[in-house]
Amino acid sequence: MSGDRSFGADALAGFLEIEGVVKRFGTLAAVDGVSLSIARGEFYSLLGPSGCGKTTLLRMIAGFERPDAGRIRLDGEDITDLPPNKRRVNTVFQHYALFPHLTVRDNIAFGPRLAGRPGGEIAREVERLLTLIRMEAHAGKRPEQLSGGQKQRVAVARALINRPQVLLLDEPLAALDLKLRQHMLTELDAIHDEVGITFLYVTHDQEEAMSLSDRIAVMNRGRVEQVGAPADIYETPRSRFVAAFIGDANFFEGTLAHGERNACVLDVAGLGPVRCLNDKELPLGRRACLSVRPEKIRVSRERPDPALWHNAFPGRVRDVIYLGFQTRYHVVVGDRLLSACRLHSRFRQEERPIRWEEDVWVAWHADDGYMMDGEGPSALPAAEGEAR
Amino acid sequence: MDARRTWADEWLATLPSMAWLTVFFAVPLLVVFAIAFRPADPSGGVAEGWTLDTLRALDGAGYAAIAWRTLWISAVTAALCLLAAVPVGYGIARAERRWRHVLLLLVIVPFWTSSLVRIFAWKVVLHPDGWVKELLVACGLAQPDTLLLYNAGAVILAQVYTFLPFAILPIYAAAEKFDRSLIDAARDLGATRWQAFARVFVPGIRRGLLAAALLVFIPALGSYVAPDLVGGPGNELIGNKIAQRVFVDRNLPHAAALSACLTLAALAPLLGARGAMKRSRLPFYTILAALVFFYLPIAVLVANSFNASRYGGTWTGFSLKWYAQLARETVILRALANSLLIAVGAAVAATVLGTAAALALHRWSSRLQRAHYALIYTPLVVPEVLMGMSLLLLFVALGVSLSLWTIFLAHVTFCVSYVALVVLARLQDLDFTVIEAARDLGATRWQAARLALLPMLWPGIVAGGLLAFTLSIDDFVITFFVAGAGSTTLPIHIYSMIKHGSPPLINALSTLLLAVTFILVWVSRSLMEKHE
Repeated sequence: MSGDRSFGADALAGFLEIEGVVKRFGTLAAVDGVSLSIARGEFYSLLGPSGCGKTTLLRMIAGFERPDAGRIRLDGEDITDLPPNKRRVNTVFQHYALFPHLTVRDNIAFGPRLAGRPGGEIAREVERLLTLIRMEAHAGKRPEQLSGGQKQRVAVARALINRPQVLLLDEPLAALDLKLRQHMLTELDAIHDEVGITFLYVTHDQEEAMSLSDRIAVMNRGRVEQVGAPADIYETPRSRFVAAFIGDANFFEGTLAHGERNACVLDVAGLGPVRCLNDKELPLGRRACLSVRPEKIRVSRERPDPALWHNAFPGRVRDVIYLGFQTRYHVVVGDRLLSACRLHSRFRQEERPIRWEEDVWVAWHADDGYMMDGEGPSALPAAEGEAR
Repeated sequence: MDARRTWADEWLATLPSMAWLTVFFAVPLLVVFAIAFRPADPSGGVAEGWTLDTLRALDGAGYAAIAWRTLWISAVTAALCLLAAVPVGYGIARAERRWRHVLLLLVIVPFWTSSLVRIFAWKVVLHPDGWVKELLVACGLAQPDTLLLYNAGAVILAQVYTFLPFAILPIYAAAEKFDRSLIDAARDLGATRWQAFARVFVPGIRRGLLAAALLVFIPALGSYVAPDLVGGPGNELIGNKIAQRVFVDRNLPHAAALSACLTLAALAPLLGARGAMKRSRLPFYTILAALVFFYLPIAVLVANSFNASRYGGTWTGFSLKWYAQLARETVILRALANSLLIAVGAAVAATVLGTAAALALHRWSSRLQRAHYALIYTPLVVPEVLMGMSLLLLFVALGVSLSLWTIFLAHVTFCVSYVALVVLARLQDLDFTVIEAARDLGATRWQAARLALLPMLWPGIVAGGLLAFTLSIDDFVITFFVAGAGSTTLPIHIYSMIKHGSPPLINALSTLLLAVTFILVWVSRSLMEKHE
């Protein structure tokens, strides 16, 4: 409802079209007027915290739930009221939902057998998919004999064998551990390239969504907050919620004191004037919220050159979190806590790393902040998960 | 832990139930098998010497016909029960959580009333002058001289009615655990509702189906009451024949030989046969139909208890006279007191023995426990008639005169297994890290057991105890064998009332029992809800 139109999603030919879909459970609107347009062959993700309505939306596309309002069209055909078995859409379930009484081979062959396809053809197709997921050696096993990653691959093969027009994936990696998850990410990407069909991927993990997707729809409280390519969403978040949910962000709320496009000043209470870009050309005196990613903020002992670093404030280090590939600093500036990070490939060469309770300067360029309207339709209340 | 000490613990926990079941179950059973090889004493006892004559005699005397009838009636009963129980169990498992408990209670509650009364209720419904008959005649489905009672159909009806909950409960349990997303997955892959049900749900609950089939088929093989009350002389089953050989012909070797055959028949399906897997759609309507089926005879019975007419068929006006008459029957009150005394005593004793047995079975997995488990499990699959008879032989052999005590011993014997399995199920669901946590925080083994294990196990123990109580207070067949002259229990009294006519009094008594059951269930349910 809010996100897609202004972001040019309609420019892409709509293969899977979702129009004003609403689903209520009791008085709660789990999906509250969502419209999306997904292109053929696209890897598209629905990203949001648990309870944002993404799984409900997926279940409506699969046919397990009926929308209270709105239509769903697939390749021009209205599928809103079709039962799940009549839709050319297949699902990879969150906990795989492999049939425990069937072997891997029989699980994969389940769909074509129901469709009554000839036995020889089914056998060939099953072999082809077993090869695709590299499970030839395990074809005779039952689900309880498989590891998590193997179950995952069987679930994908079982859903792909019916040659769906769209493959729905409901948090398919949630049950796997980190290493396996990263491995399966590459694997899913490879499978998507190989089969070339549309993937609709539901996840609460921004990293999964960012690394796989052509486009992402960020959902919150049953609505779409923003649709765009991963970089768009990260660099130009449309709302505070999006900025905070995708990566970390420092927020500065204030009033526009100088309105020029390239030399605008936000008056932030307790901090003073903050220089930024006014690329939305908001009027003077307007409430606005500036988001600055931690990696854009520099931490140093010396006062930075004001010509290069437009915003510089003195502070004191509260916390240093060493993460190996980066170091996080939590710095108290005035009455607020800022999060900054530093990629630290040269940590060992450094003579005197910054420590706890040191007095430091934090600084960032005016064009590294991203300003969001603090009033009007896209101004949303702060969500959980702000700069940690 | 000290190896000798756990060894002592294991024996301490195992010995009570094991010794009890050996003395009152295993040995008598073996005695029965032994007696099958003894010649009969014309005066009614067992003669000296060994012979195969008794087993040879099984060829004749119409036994083959009885065995065949027993088998097919039991098989049809089991098939019909499954056919009804699958959609009902499925429907209840899919119902909303708060409805699920209500529906389950509605299925179970009628079965907490006397089993004799329930079969008697069918006798009233199918009575030649009853309204069901009139309705069928009016619809042209029956002739005025058609007999609804005293045929194989009536026996099957009464059997299905008796055993259906035993089929519904395991299927419900399996359906409740069944992962619903598998149905979604099947639908997603192109299955219709019906295909998803048949290809994914039914195979998914196959263990429940097997359990249900066995839980119906095996007791049906040994049933006594239903064929006795609604079957008439032409429809006796093996159970009736055994009782007849014991009580009428006083031919113990023949009875023993028949019992041995019955045991083999009961054990055979356990060794691998799989029940027929049937299915049906429209779970909602089948639940409704099942509930009507359950409550219809009971409703007729309650209505008749207020009927001024002595005969169930016609309504001659409202009256409380049967209740007034019931209050004057001190014999009934004495029988009720006996039943309560035995049920409470047996439930307590069986709960103690059964809980210890469950703890031992869960804690250790030695060869001793495998034998222990077999000993706990077999009483569940041995037909009641056989258990009654074997206990009778034991008491006669030991020269114990039959009294309330012998009934008590018998009841403890068949209740121990039920308690042990209920408590064991609870133990298997428990999170034992809690006990480790208690030990970690400084509790001794006994303190950990008392403060952590017991409170978690309590619902299982209470459920086991209540089950034992209900089994004991309702038992007719086993009690029938081991009751002495002065030790009438309520079921025995009801049976003689049914046999020797005073139907209106039975109606009134059953209505009172039903009311008490419903009130008890209601109170315990609201107490439990408050507790939650």
